[in-house]
Amino acid sequence: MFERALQKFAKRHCFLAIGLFFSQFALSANIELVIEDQHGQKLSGAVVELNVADKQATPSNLPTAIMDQVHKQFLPELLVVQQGQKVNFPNSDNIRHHVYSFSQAKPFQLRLYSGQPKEPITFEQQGVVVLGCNIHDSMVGYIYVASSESVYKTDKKGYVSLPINILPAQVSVWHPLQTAPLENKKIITINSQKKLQITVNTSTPAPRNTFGSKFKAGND
Amino acid sequence: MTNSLRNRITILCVGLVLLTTMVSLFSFWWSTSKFQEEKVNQDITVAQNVYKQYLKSKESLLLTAAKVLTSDFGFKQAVATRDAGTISSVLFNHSQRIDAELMLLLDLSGRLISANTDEDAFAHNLKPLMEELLSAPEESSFVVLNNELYQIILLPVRAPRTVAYSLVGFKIDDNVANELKSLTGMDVSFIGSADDIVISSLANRPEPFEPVNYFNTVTTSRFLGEYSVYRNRDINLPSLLTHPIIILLSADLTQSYSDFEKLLFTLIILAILTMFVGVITSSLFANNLTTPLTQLAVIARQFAQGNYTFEFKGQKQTTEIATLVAAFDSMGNDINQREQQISFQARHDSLTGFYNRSAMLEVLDDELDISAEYTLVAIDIKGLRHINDKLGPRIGDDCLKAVACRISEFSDELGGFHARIGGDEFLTVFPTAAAREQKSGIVGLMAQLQACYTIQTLKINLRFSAGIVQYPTQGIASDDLMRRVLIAVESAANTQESIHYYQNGEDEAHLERLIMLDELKQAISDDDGQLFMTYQPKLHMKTQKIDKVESLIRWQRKDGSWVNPELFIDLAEQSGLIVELTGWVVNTVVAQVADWQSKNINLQAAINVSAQDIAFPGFHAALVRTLKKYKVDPKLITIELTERDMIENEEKGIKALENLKAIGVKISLDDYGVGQTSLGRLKMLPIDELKLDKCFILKLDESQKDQFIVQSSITLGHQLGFSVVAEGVETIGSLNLLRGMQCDHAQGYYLSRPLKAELLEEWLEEYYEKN
Repeated sequence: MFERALQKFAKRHCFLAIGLFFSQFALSANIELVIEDQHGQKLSGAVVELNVADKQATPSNLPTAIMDQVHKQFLPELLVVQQGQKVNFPNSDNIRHHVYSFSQAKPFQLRLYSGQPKEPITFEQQGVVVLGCNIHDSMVGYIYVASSESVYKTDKKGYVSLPINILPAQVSVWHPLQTAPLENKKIITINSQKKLQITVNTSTPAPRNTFGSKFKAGND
Repeated sequence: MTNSLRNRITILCVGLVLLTTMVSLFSFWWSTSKFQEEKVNQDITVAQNVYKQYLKSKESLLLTAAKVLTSDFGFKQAVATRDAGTISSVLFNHSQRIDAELMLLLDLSGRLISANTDEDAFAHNLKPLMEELLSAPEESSFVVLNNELYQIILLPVRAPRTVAYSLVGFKIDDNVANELKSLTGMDVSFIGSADDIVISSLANRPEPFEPVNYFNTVTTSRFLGEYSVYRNRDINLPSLLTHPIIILLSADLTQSYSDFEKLLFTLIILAILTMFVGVITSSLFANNLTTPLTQLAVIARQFAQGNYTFEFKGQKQTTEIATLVAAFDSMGNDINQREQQISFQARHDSLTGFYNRSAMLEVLDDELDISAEYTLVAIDIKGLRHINDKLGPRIGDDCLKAVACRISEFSDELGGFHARIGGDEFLTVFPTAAAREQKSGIVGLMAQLQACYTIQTLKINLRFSAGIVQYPTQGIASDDLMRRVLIAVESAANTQESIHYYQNGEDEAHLERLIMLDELKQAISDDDGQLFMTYQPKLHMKTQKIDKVESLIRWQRKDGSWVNPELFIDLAEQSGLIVELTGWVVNTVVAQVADWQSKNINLQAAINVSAQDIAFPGFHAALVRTLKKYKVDPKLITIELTERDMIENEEKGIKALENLKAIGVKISLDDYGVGQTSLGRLKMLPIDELKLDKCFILKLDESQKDQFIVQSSITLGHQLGFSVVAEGVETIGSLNLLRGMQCDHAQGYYLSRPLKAELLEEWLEEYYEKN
């Protein structure tokens, strides 16, 4: 138990460390973006990637990211990794999961397991990977495999601050609930340093029912 | 007949039964119709629920099937990887498993990825359909695809995000409709009007078949008219907005109609039976009631005919009828008793208990045996009126009773019978043979009757007249016998005999007298000249003048025959008609005298009257009235009475004569010398004139003795203050003798026979011319 708590603490630190790392780059010139949905609702958890043509991260330097499964949910729901980064899928529930992905970026399966899988999975291609659990239909998770290091997520208020040196700059915006096909990213060209507002159409996913509800009496 | 109690009761009962039946029939009809209606509605509701449930379970099945399909990891993998061949085979395999006719896989934009059947048939754009279905997720809809009706469900294929949609459907065809029909027995039609599709369980369909129209309009001809065959209800099925699908439930009512009619017929038959029973029982009841009434009516009719004994037929009568019968019985007895009493009173004399006259006639007819001989004796009590007058009617009645007692003693002994046939007349009838055996016979009877009676300490002697008729020789019919015996007793009374034996022919003479009496009565009332007065002049000796006449009545019948005045006057006296006759005479004579007065002929007229006239209370007044009417001096009128008339009822007679004298008329004693007038009586009579009987005058000139009598009578008359008239003067010798004897007046054929008034006047002229 103690060991597990320690582990969580370690993960938080890791994220913090990454965040600090990015913010240091952004200090030179920061452009603020606000991401909203079609109703003017600020979207948190939107991914904004700064498209830099020649910048390649070395995979060896990258830490192994963790996509945990807690209370039959992926944690975090959205994990942003670098191309070539490894992700570990520990199972923190005391039941088994069968994690899979049919996404073109990385189709894989981790057949029924509990605890730590044998080895982490490396995401070589950039793109979006949708994670599911074959046993628990309600579990959905996303791994955003970024091609560049300059990748950011909006905060709870839908804000993101981009450190941009050269204008015009091109950014791609993506959100898990976007109505456009999941692989598609919205390409935005930033021409000024002004605060920019970007709208992404989203759809609210229907609650995931189980079979049982249809058999209940009076269901008409 | 229609008004009879029986009919009324029957009509009432039948009417009540009919009313009750009609009311119950109507209420049955009403409630059954209502019940049927409710039942049909309920059935339809049940059916509706069944169908909903059925479709719901189908939906569940669909959902389950679709979920199983879309949740299959392999399928997901195939879809996610767009492994077309695998997808197609999975769809086909799965559709076989769950027996779903339709399984399609659509991509997120609605394009067909794969199908379990011919993909080309679904090549068109399914996006609008998909979007509409997605708006109601996980619910089935009824949709027409490729001209077939399907119950479909659209489910996303999630891996784990939606990567495609799977559309699973069951085909709805006629088999499904038939299956549904077998669940509830109602016809089921699925109608997609926009897609022009019809699926129905109806086996025999008309051409063209439009279910809504057909089920709502088709009728069946029933016993009571045309009725719709189906009761319909349509239910909207979940379907596309622009392609609505309805399900039409049609309950076939034919069976319920025929059930209802069966019930109705049963009830009508029951009602007819009830009515029939009602008619029979009520007619029995009415019969029970009316039979005794009819019988009582018959009994009442018997009562009317005098038959008071009856027997009431029938047992166990109601108390009311029994009371009525008892009342009839006692009524019959009472009436019978009273009738006997009345008929006894009607047939018997209340005083003596003898038969009365009319009853006796019947008794004679009934009792007399033609082969036997009977003696009929009518007995008349003489002078009973005097006893009544002098001793009182009670003594008179007692006398009658005593006489009746003796008569009954006599006739009872002989085996006869008796009756009281008049106020003082009895009739006794007895067998002649029996009377002959008893030596005394009728004479003995009379002796027995005439013996002294002791009535309330008074000793009374009664005298009797008896008339005797022999049966059958002197008459057979009861009324003949009665009349003849009365004639006989009357003759006995008139002739002062005590016994008069009826002689053959007396009846006829009596009858003739009766006829004559009738004619006389008619003649008086008609006054048509049959009766007329003649006047015989009386010569006044001293003056040689005719100053008086005697008026004498004459009767010449219409046929010209003359009737002897003595005969008809006698008849009139006997019948009491004399009063009327004298009235006529007085009137005629007074009128004549007045006539003469007006002609200056002074004649006194004498009128003959009888004792009955004098006794008649109205005589005096009538005379006075007549005199006044014609303004005739009473002195000109002389009343002539015979000695015999004068003697009868002397005191009253003298009184009446004195009253007549008081008004001024003269009184003359007729037929003097042949009667029983004693000299002592003569001096008491209030008379003015003595009229010597003609028997002394007719041969006066030949008989010395007559001359002595006449001479002394004239002298006596003169000395008593009377004037003397001699009648029957037929010779001059007699007249001269009478003149010598100083007789006042002479009358007779020597002078003139009685003449009619005109002739007398002529005679008078001649007479006075001669002298």
